[in-house]
Amino acid sequence: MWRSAATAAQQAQNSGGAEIPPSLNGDVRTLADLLPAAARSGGDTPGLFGLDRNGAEQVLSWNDLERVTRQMASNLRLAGVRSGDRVLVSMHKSTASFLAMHAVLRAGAVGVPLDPLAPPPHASAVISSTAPVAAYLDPNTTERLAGLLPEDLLLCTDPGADLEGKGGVLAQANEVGSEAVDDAAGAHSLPVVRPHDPAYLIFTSGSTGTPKGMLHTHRSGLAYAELTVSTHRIDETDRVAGMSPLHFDMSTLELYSAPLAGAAVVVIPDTHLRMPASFVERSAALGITIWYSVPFQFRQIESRGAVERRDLSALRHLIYAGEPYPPGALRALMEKLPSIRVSNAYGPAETNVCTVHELSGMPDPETEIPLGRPWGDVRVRVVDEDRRDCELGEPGELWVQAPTVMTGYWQRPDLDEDRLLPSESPDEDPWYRTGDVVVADELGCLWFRGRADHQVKIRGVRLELEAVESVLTDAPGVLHAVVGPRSVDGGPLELVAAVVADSAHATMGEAAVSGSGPLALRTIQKWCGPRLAPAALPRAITVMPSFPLTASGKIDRRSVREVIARATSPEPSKSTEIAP
Amino acid sequence: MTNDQNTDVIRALPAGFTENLLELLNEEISVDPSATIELSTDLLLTGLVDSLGVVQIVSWFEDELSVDVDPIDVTLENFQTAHRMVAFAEQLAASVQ
Repeated sequence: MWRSAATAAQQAQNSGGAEIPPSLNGDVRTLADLLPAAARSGGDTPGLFGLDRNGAEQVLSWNDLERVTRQMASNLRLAGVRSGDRVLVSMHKSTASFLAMHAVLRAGAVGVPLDPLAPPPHASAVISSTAPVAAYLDPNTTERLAGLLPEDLLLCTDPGADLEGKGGVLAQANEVGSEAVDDAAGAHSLPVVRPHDPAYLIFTSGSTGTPKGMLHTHRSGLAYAELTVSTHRIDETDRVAGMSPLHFDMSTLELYSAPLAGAAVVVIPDTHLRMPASFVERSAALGITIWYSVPFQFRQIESRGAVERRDLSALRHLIYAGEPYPPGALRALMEKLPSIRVSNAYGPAETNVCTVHELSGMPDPETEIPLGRPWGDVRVRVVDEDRRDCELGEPGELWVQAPTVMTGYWQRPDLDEDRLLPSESPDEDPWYRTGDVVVADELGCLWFRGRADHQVKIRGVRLELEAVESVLTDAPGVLHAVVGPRSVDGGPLELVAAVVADSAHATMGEAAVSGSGPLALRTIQKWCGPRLAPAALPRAITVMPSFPLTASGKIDRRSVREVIARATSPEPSKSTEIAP
Repeated sequence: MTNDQNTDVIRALPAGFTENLLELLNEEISVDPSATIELSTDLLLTGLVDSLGVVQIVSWFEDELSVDVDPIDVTLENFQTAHRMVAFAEQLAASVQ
C-alpha cells in the first residue's frame, strides 16, 4: 500500500526536524494553555508586536498577553458566558483581535471570527446559526452589524479602542466587564478546558449561499499548531507575520503555532496587506522571519512591495497555502529573496493542513509544484468513485484522517454524513472527504488535479460557484447567470460571469452594455457589492442572448464557463470590464 | 500616457484632479457602489478599495500626471484616503517640475 509507505517516509523525514520544546509540550493540552505556557517560558520577552489605532507600535510581553487575556476571559465568565457558548469576534486585525480570540478560548467559549466587512446576508446567517451570547467588535463593525445582532448580546469593550501604547491596552482590558480582576483572582474564575471541547468555528460560503461552519476543537487546533512548529521548525527566535484575517483558517499559525513555539507574533493590519510596500517596510523594520499567506498576496508583494530595496535579511521562511502558486511567479519572488526556504502547505480548512512540500531549490517555471506528502502521522487515501483505493498515478478524491480534522460542520448533520465517514476502527478519527482530486506518486507525494465539484479558490478564498450564481441570478433584470474562473495572461484567477436577461429586459445590445439600457451592468454590480465578498465579485460580465443547453435541457454551464474563461481581451473595454 | 512636452510646465495638479479622482473611486474602484467615498474616507480600513483597486489607482495617477509612481511610495501614508492621494499627487507634480 502506497499510503503506509508514504507515512513511513514522512515520519522518517520528520524525525530530523526540531521537536516541540518539552517544557511547552507537556504543559499544553488545549489552546487555552498556550499563553500561560508561553508566559512561563518567555516571561517578559516580547510576545506580540502590534499597532494601536493611531499607528503607534505596541509591544506586549508573554506575561502581558497571559495576564490581559486571563482578565478578559475572567470578565467574560463574570458576565455570564459559559463553556461552549459562542462569542463573536468581528474585528480588523489588531492587538485587540489577538487578545479577543485567546480570551474566548480561555473562557471555555467558542470563538466565531466573522469578517468585519462580511456582506450582510453572510453576517446574518453566521450570527443566527451560532446565536452568540457575547461579541468583541470594532466600533465600525458595531455600526455595520446593527440590526443583525441579538438584543441581549453582551458587547465586550473593544480592548484596543482609542488606546496609545500597551499601558492603555492593559488599563482598558481591566475594565472589560463589571470590575477589575487582580492577578491572583483571575485564574480562579476560569473553567477547566478539555481537549475535545469546541474551540472555534471557521465559516465559508456554502454551495447555496448558506455559510458552512467548521467546528474545530482544542485538540484539532493544537494538533495543527504542534505539526506546524515541528514541521516548519519554528522556535522562540522567530517572528511570525500575522498576514491572514481572523475568519480565515490560516490565522491559526499566528494565533496558536507562534505561542506554542514561543515565537513572537507581528500583527499585520488588513490595511498593510492592501499596501504591499507598507507590509514589506514593517517586515524589514521588525525583522519578521516567517511569512505565511496565499499566493495572491505574495504576488502582490513581489510586484509592488519593493522587496529588493528593503533589508529582509531576517526573513528565512515563506510558507504559502490556499491555492496553487504558479512556479514562474514564485520563482520571481524567490529571485528577490535569495536565501529563503519555501514551503507549500495544503489542506482544506476542515483539515487545517494535511500535506506539506518544502521546495528543494528554485522552481522550474514549467514544472508543477506538488501539494506534498502527509505531515506527521496523518493518513490519506486516494479513492475512486466506488470508494476503492486508486492505483498509483490514478486520479481520485483525497480522503484524510488526522487529529487536525474538524469535529464536524456546525448544525449540518447532512454535510457531516456526506463528508465525514467513520473509520474502520471506532477509536480512530473519521475520514474526511476533501472533494479535491489528486494523484499520488511512488514517493507518496500528492499532486492536485482539480475539484470534484464547482468550488474555486480566488485569492485563496474558497468560493462555491453556485453561491455566486444564485446572487447574480437574483439581480434585477437577470434571468440566468453562470460564473467561472479565468486567468488573464497567467495572472491570478478571477471570477467572470455571463448573464441572460429576463424577458422583461429582453432588449440587449449596446444600450445594455453601456450601462443605460434595460440590463445595466452597473446595476448588477451594485446588486452584488453588498451581497458578495470582494473575491467573489465578477471582474467582467458578458451579456449573452441565451445559454447553450445540455442534452437533458439544463444550462450547459461547462461550455459557458469555457467561453467566459477565454473571453479575455488585452485592452478590456470599460463598458464590460467591471472594476473591483 | 506620454506627454513629455508638458512635464516642464506642470506647476500644479491638472484641472479637476480631485473631482476626477473622487469620481474614479466612486464609479470604478469602490467594491460597494452604494457607499459614498469622500476625501477623508478611509478606503483601506473600510475595504472599499481592495488590492486590485490600488493597482488601478496607481495606474490612473501615472496616466493623469504623466509620471512613473515608484512602488516604494505606494504606501498607507500616501493612499489611505483620497485626501492623502491628492497630497501625494502634489508632491509628484512638484518633483517633475
